[in-house]
Amino acid sequence: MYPEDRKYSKEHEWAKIEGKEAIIGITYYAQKELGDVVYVDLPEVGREIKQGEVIATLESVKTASEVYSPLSGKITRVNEKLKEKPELINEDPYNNGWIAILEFSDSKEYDNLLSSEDYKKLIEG
Amino acid sequence: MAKRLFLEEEHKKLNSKFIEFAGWYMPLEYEGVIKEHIQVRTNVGIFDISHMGRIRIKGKKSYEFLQKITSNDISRLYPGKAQYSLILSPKGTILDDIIVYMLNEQDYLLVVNAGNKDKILSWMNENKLNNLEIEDQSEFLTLLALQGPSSESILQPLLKEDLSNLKYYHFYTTKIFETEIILSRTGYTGEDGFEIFIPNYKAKEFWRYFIENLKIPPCGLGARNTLRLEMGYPLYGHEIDENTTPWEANLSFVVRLEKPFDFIGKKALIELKDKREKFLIAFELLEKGIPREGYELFCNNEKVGWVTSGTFSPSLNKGIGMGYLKKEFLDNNLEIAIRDKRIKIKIVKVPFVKNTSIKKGVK
Repeated sequence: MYPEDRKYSKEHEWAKIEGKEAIIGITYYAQKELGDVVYVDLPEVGREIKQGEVIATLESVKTASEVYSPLSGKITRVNEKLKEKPELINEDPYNNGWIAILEFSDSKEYDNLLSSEDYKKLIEG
Repeated sequence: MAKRLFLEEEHKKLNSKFIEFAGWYMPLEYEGVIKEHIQVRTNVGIFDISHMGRIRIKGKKSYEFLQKITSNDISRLYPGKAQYSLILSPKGTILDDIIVYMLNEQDYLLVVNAGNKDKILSWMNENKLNNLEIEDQSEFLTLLALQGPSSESILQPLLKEDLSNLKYYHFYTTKIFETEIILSRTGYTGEDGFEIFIPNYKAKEFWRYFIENLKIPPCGLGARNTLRLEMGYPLYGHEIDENTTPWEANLSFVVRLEKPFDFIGKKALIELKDKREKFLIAFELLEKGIPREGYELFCNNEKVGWVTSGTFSPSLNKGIGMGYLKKEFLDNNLEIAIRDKRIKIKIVKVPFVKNTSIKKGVK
């Protein structure tokens, strides 16, 4: 439920570092709260984004929710599969349900995110 | 402090996600809105809708009273018949949309919206006639809705009556598990189905029988909303409210101007008939996206309306909604603003989803 190979934001996003890039997604808890995701509004590739800015909008049956970027950087790829299969966010939030990849600009931002353990504490109290 | 369902613990045991709705703490979803929605469209599902207000009207003046405060014609009722109707303000706007059940000439049951119950009770008391009993029974009864094409075959073995004789918008008092209940062939999903009024002391037994023995999936308000929206049914506080006339909301079929009673709102309605300030439409999105309440509608860059309800339709796999236009646009150039985008919409006739299992008979 809280993979240890990545870090977490208080807003329930995760970031996983691979070289110069970070993969961004939402947590198991977040997708569960959202319910069935039926549409994903993805960002434009090439866009510069700051930490805390809206990187995507997820629409569940019930409501639209914004996803905030846990890191600053330049978006290099988005998960095109979500256009046809938004349910990947529910089915596999930590792998096939990733949202975007960005070339991050400040590794300190990553360091300041929550560890798996701290995020678990945030959720489970 | 939100009001609690009598069966709240049962819903919790089924891992329901809850939401506050119309002052009630209600199950939103159990296994997921889409799954529950599809279950009801294809097979069967059960909802706890005990938040709905239930008001009993008794006494010699019941008929006269109901003719006065409702827009439909009570003379079309007979014992065992239910009727969709409206309670109007003197201005001709909608105070509530309700169902009136006639038990006998001096005894009626009204199902009103949860959020409107207190308002309607005071309204009734203000307009009360002598020798009339108005009783709020909401607290003693659990109301379960069994909905879906398989509802009849599932319920039949529990009853001595032949259910195929119970027509749409009809009901009777009968017994299940030695308990007197009201069984009504009504619903808010567009599927065949029943609403069952059960005394609270037996509610748990009924619920568990349906869930555990019959394995009927529980469904929450999420699916209730997507199902009603696919049928184009109005929801109070969205398509209809105190600023909306029945003419504007396409509800003229429950306004009986010809009935020989000056019901409240009639005079205003006659004047307002050709003075609609807004026009209710149903629409679908021609590209991906989901309309939501409050989104704006445009025609050639001019703001011409707004969305009152919107959702992703699990049956049609696209965004659908209802909303009001400020004038009657027959133009095809309508668009909806979703965040920073404009998406083309197409006006459609309701229901969005056709050929459901609902068995319409006499209305």
